[in-house]
Amino acid sequence: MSGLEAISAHNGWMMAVFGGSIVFSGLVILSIAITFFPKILALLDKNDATAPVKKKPANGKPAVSTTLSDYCPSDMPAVVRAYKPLIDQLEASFELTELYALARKHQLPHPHLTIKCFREAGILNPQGEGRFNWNP
Amino acid sequence: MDLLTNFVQNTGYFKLFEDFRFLIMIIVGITFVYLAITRQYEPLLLLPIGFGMVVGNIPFFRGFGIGIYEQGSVFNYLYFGVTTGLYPSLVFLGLGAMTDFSSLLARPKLMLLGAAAQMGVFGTLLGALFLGFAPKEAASIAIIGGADGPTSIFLTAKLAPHLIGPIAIAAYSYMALIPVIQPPIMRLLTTRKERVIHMPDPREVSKKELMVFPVAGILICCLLASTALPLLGPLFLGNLLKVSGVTERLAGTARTAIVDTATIILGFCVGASTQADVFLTIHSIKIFCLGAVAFSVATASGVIFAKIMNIFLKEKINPLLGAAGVSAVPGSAREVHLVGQKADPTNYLLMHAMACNSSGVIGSAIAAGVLWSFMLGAT
Repeated sequence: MSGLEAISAHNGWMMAVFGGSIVFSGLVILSIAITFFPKILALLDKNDATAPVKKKPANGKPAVSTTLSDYCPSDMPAVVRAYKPLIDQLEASFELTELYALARKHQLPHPHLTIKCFREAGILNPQGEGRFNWNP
Repeated sequence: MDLLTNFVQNTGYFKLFEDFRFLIMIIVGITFVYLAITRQYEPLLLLPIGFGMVVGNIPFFRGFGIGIYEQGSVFNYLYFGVTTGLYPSLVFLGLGAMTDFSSLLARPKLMLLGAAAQMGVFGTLLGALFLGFAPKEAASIAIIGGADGPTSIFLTAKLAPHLIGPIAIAAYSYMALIPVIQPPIMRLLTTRKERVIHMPDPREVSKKELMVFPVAGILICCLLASTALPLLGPLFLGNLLKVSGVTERLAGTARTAIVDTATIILGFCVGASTQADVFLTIHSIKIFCLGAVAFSVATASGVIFAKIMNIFLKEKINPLLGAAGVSAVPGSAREVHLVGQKADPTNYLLMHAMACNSSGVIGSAIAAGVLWSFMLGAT
């Protein structure tokens, strides 16, 4: 069988119309969802930013509740994950200049400010003699 | 003497003279290899396919377990990955690990152009049914319009495995011929004024958005068309491996070792599957003609849809971008950029065209899933 008769017999018209519509709807829904990504994420970030960041008690000292500086990244866990491979290359106790040099080498953005934020968040803890350890 | 005569009659040389179709296919294979090396037409695809065509068309003793269609042969084991759709899935994993969706996330409306280009698929479905192909064969031929080799192979393996050779060769040939097929259609459907439209720089996309996209993408697309899972699942997984920042080693393996291995074996097997006695039929010629129509209609649909969008948009988009809605990554995006630059050398469309290209990949996988689900009850 061939010709228009074959198209009708095999539901060709319906398949073409519905198939096209389904593909189109799928991508339209996805594009609409993408449009809302920044708004939803900004809303979540806002909630995160208002929550205080707790310092872990170190050496029996009392925990200090503090808010990170404005210039610190809103998504600290993500930044911590990005720095983890660098930390793995260092010894357990290291100097901040070593971490800074590695961050520069891997072209991570704003390493100076990020390291400062790690210190504020208690992720980098002083061990004395200018050396620090990593305790996320 | 009889022994010698038997031996001579069983050599490939003798059989080549006996059935010249094998010789034709060997010449086609060598031409593919030549084009890949000298003209660099999609060399990563054409070279393994072309060499596979040469290998697959060397006549051999039947029953010795040598040929790709003979049970238990080495080639048959390799071909298993084609007929089950394994290699296309692996290619999609690597593709996901290579793709940067940030330009698409920055301008989501460009995703509609990827959807519009899929109209070529459904237009060709009608054409194939019109020419008398069975529904499953017609669906397999139609997906050539998606301009995506692995997707075409995947769907054909599921619906019409006997057509894998001609459909795969047609899909990859047209992908290689993008610089020949697409520019005339783009120029025909656009004015110079439209071709010089500059696109504004895309906004910066946050890492979080990039990480949310693969998860949202798989949920939205595959809840709608779950049959697209074998392609979109690996695609979005590969992308998540890339953007998460915690699995760089896995992403690196996916975009190098895995995709390279899958591409080599897939290309070789598809080439070797074009044995002249199976491949050189009137069906193959029809498939090649329909493939050309599918690819042209897909290109034209994207461009025309972009022009329609411009009627409603305040900030006009360059209609050339519609041609990149087919999923031939990155060939069609590169061609859109070049045609745009010919009209205005200061116009850089590559990033925007890549957005359409990425959505074309997703769109063609959904189209394949939809066609597969339509054919579940068909004969």
